[in-house]
Amino acid sequence: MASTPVSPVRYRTRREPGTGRLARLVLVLTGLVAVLAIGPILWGIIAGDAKQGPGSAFAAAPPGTYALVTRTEGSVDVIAAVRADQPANVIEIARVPHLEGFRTSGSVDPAGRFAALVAVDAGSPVQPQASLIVVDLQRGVAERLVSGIEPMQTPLWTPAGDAVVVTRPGAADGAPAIDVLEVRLDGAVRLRWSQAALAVAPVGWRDGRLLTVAIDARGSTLQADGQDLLHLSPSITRDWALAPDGSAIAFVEVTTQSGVRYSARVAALDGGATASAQALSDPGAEALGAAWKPGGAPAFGAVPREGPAAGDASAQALRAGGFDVPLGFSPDGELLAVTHWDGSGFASPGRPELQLVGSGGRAAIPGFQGFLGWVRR
Amino acid sequence: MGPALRSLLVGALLGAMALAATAPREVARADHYPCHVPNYGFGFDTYEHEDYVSAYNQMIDLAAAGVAVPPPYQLPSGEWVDVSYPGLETGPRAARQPRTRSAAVPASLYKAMVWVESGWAHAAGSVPYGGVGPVLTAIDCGYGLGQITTGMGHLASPPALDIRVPSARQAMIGTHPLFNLAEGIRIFADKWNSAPEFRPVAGNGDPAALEDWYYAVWSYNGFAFINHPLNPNRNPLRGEVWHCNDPNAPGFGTFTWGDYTYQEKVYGCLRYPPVPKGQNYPPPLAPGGSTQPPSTALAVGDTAVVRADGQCLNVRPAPAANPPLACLPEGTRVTIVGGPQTLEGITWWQVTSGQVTGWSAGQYLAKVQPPQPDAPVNPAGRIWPPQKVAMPALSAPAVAAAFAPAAFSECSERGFSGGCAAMDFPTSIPELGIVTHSDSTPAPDPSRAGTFLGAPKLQVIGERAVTLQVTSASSTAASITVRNLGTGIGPFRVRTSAAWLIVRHPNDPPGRVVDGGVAIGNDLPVVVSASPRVAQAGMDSVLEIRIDPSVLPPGATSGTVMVEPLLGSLQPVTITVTVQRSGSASGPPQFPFRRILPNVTAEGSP
Repeated sequence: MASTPVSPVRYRTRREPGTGRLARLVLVLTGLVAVLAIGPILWGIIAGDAKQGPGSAFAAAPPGTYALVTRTEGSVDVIAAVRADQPANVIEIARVPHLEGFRTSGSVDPAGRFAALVAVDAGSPVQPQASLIVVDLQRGVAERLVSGIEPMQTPLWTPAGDAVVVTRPGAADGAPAIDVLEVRLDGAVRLRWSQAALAVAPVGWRDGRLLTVAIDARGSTLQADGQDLLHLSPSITRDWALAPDGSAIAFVEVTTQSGVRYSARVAALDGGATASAQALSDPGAEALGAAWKPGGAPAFGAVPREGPAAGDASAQALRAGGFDVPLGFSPDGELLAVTHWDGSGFASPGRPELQLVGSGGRAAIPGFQGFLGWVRR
Repeated sequence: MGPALRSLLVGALLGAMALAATAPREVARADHYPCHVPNYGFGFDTYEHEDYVSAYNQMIDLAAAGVAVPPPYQLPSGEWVDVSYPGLETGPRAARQPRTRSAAVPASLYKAMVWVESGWAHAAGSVPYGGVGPVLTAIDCGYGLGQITTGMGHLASPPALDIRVPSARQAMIGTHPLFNLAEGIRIFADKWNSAPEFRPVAGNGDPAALEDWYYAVWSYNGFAFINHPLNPNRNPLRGEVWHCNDPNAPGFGTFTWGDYTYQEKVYGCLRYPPVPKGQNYPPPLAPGGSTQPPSTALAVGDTAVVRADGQCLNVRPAPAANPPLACLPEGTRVTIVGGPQTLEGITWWQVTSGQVTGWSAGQYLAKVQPPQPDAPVNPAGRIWPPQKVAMPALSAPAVAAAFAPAAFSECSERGFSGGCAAMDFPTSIPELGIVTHSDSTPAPDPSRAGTFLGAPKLQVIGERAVTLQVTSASSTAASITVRNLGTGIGPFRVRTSAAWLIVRHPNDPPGRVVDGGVAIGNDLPVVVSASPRVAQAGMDSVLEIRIDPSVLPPGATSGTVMVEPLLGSLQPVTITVTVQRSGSASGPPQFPFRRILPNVTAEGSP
């Protein structure tokens, strides 16, 4: 177990207290200014409503359901919130720097107060290194918690929202391995376990146990606290989505027996056999992306294998040119955030656009590409 | 202190506490650390060719053919300098043939790799093209054009001479671009030759087939799962290869550098070579490869990219109106939504990008043609000719099977010592129309190597015995100048006998030391100012010797600094340094005048 300090220790120089008239005047004025400046914050703390204190524009945004989205501008990612019913109204929250050519990935904590981001901010373009950045959505402040983690991963929040699970390259018995870390918001780092694997992806929690998918010689295996729970596939899998009640996991299986194929799969966590997903019926399509509708079934994206666009396969069965890759349902299940591609399939996917799809249609979030999750405030 | 004052102070204290509790602890920002102990980077100077496109094209052609550098040679100290070409094994796993130097590395492939590694820069960004200065050094201690890390650490094999003293080989890689490229080719060839014992074989192991280099390219960056094409963290819609920033290539404006594996970056730049820095990409060719490019005239609905010579492009609320709404960076992709309108002699288009919609000058917008993966690539203006190349045909079962997790895992778990046979895949499947491609680069004229090697002849100007006064905080300095009386780049190594002896340039920033440098012959122009451009013939390397008091042992009285030429005339020069501690009566007498002849006399000496 290791601990990473959040900030360097700051030292102050001890000085003799002022005793003169001028010194007392300075003290009084300083105190007065401090009270005036800090008063609202103190009042907020006393009133138990610190979230409404000064901070990002999001802190003053009206109540509602918001999608937290990202846009890459060179060496900076813009973190913003858009209200579900006003997707063109963007509220910028923070800007997170990173090396040019990379983009952040991330997720929102269960309470919707923080976003955890994995940003490539060190190393070199050909040997990138990533850091875990936590953004306080209310204050618009980004803070680096730990460095040296694997780039491109999606961090997983603990159910209590007090820590984030990420992975980093490690070594076990001298052989390459992957460390699974739990990083608390105060910066303390706990090594949960290390294991030899090609990849380990934290995917959720069940009965207080951390669920991960390990990819190794056996293919893909769902594990709980590092112990095998369910063999998902002899292949690489991706786009894992745990059902809200933890009873099943949806994922995309990347098989290689007949050429590379992307297939939607759902596995019950009670030990039931991996089942083919019901959402797909088009044999000419590949699956990408998975999202669970609260209380419902998973939705997968259907990417035409070749030829003209076959439409999307989101749970709403809305028709549009191109295809959708689902990202996440809103807490009430009314909206599905998708990446909509206007092309015809793998060979020519076209251009992506972040969209919110509901029974009333679809609305674009122009200019944004990344989706971190939903926030209800 | 009255009660009112006390309450105010308590209030201030509470306020300060609240402020401390709510203030950001550490705002995230990008870090760029130096190479760190025990792999602390060496301080090398180098020369960056001004005509880098021509020079580095020729150098890579020579290095790829194995004719860039002289055969291994020995320094007067007995140390060998060897970055010679090892040759290549050939043939499939079952019929692998021994190395032959007649088999060459495809030059274009290494050109693409060097572009990915360093952007074809050997010197740091602070050094202008044509200038002399610190070599480009990455955080992982990758040096120069090829970003050479292998064998560049203090504990490398062969090792550095000391924690502070690079080996001659290391110094050559850090100081001389031709040796750097030759070493990169040697490493690349070693990656190729590591199959079939430690790496899988792509295709028939034919070095002439660009596709057969797939695993060697992967290995140059580390044969890790992050570069596996089916890595679940990568978007499968990213396409076969990186667009290499060609606005007309598939994926441009949608996917970025970090979305692709290393192989996809390198092969992408092989397929879509870059243009020289500051130049515009050529328009795509018409279908069928016609040399008549399609119209580049803008129209509503088109996608365009900002091309403003590195500047940003103003977006205005109306044509020619001020103030601008925003300034879009070079390379930003926009959609044409209105126009044109002509005002003040400028054609204005209404554009939208992200949250910004407004009017911009059309001459700074380059139309983005709908990219076709198989469309011929316009070679005009590119740094090297585009090459046709195919990536692993993942739709073919025989190829896809090589990328099953069991195949990679078996390879990885054995430490790659099992040969990774399960990852072998065919690169030619004629019945599916899958064929290999070869590099169109012609064989170079080996005599061109002499042009880049020159015939350096270094002279060290300065006293051979100096006395430095040292206090607890600083020391005096002795100046030496390394001059190249011959031609070309004259590389040298600086070897000090003790850690407290420091050699640096007079105006170097604190902390920088010179472990190796270059003196440039008069046949080469050296740019000393980029804007306005000022160049001179050749350049001395002016150095100063100092003492670092913080690591000077109490008993130390003398040391040596050796300047060792590493190419051409190889006679080293040793300078003896005597320590004169401030206030001490020991040591040689101090003269108030600068010595003008070493060890003979001093101006005005008693």
